Amino acid sequence: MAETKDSTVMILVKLTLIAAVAAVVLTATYGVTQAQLEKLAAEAGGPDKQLLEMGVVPDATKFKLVGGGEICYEAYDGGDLIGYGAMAEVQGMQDILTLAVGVDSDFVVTGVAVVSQKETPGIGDKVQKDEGFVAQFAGVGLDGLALSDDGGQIDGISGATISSRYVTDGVVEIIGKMQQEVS
Amino acid sequence: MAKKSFVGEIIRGIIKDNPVFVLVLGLCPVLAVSTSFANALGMALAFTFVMLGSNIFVSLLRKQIPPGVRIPIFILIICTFVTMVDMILEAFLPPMYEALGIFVPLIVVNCIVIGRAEAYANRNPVLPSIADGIGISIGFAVALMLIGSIREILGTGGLKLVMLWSEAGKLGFYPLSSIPGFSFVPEVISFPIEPAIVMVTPPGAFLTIAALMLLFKIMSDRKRMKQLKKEGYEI
Amino acid sequence: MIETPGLMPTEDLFPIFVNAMFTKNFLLIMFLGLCSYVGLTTNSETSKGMSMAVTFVMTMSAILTWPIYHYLLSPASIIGKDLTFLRTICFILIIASFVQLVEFIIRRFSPPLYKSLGIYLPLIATNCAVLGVVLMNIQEGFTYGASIIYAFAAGLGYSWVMLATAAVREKLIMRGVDLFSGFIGAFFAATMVALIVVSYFSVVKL
Repeated sequence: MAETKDSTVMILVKLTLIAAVAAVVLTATYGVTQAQLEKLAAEAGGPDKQLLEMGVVPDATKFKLVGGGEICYEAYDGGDLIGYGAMAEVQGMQDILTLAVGVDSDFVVTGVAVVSQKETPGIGDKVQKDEGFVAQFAGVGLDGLALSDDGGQIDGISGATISSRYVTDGVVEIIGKMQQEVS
Repeated sequence: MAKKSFVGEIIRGIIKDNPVFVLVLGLCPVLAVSTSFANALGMALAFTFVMLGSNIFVSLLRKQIPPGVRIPIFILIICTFVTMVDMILEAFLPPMYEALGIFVPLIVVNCIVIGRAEAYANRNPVLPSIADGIGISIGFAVALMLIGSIREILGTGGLKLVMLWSEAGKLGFYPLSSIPGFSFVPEVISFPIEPAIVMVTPPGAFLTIAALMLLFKIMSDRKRMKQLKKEGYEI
Repeated sequence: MIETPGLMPTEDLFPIFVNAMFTKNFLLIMFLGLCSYVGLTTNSETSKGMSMAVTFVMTMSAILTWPIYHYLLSPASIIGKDLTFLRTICFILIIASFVQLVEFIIRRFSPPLYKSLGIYLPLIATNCAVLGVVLMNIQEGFTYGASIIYAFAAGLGYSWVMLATAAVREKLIMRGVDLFSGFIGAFFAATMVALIVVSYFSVVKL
């Protein structure tokens, strides 16, 4: 057992030493992990590249940020403007949902993808895992974007109605933002 | 101090001093991230890193640590390892980092780690402290993965076994079946039961740990009864 | 470019409040602060003391840590370097020193308050609910106002669950139902209360 009686100065010196070593170790780890994070970010690409990969506007070959916009990207098929795509965070039942939404030039949905979610495992996370659910969104205009329980055209996943509703409302919210940014 | 065997110390941490079922410590992560086997494994690995790091360094520095300020020093040491594991997970295993959320930084206030630093590593040489760290970590991992598996099986009707593995240079949690030598394991071991979704929700976590503790209590009570009977007591 | 969230709340405060109290209740749903829950809910007096102490420390920690994070550690701060990886260590030091200070002050100046609140303070420095709430504040990107409201509501959420469980357990222990005096009873009680909260909020959209 350490039964040494340290003076105040010694205690201070020891505390400082340990803190200094901790700082050095942390800074070194920070350097290594930061490099890896930058590499990951470079691999993932910007939102335009991710929108393209998810194919929310199926015919698009290129996405370009709308002038002065924040989330809305113009979708081009070669040189023709065929619609818009956007990726944004909306409120989910448990936490934030990240959704990608594609629309044609009349703001009729061409595709929706749930990019990330933290809904209840086994229940709410079906909105991401059940491909039939997001597939329903394609071809639906703003007036039909609600669950069939609420008079819309989207059938909620049974047992995960609340999460389905958050996704549907999120899509409407994102399209609203896109319209604002485009106009 | 009596000489303790390395293996004996490890086994003590798993069974006699099991941090979750016997000491009832560090419950928050046990309940929160045990929704599936994969999450449980991720948390167990992060915890092991911190537990071993903390035990080794506290033990190495035990003669230098002034008793009056030992708790802040323990926290400083633990916090360094927690921050390291947090950063490593974020950079190299982003999906696991997402899934575990704030429960990785919260290892800092996990009573098991501080408890072992105070009760064991601060009084024992490095080698037994390593053994203690390994044992406690395995005990924690066993409890976590047991609860995780039970909840996944009852809640989804299947069990996905995963392993930390590096495939094509990318570190991650891969299904056990995709790892060479384990191809005989099915990707999802399914059970012929109707999934009860409540098991993967928070009440399911409480229910599982309550049921498991009840089971342990009944078993240990039985054992004590037998012991008493053997000694000739009337019951 | 990362911007510092403002001081005045711009968020809708009602969902934040209800989330912290019920849908994301710290004890039942997020599983934070369980050690005190299991250990102290055998007695409603101690539960009351602990609840008050936790709510107080949570709110004060939110008040203290938010400026430190956003004006010192964040890359958008006056220092201009990304020091966010030091957040855990900074927060735990702030909370621990604050708790120590408060304990000292009330022991010195108000013995009755110390008796009802002070004895729980040392338990709080390593209570994960307190560190949890300040980490959540940062993760959610709350404004200063909203972070304080969130912390306070989380404290209230912690309190009602503590008191509700203590009421049930205390009564059962008095009646001689031994099962509820141990950990097992605490977890069965928690299962019931959590089921109620989860079922109710899975049919109601805020």
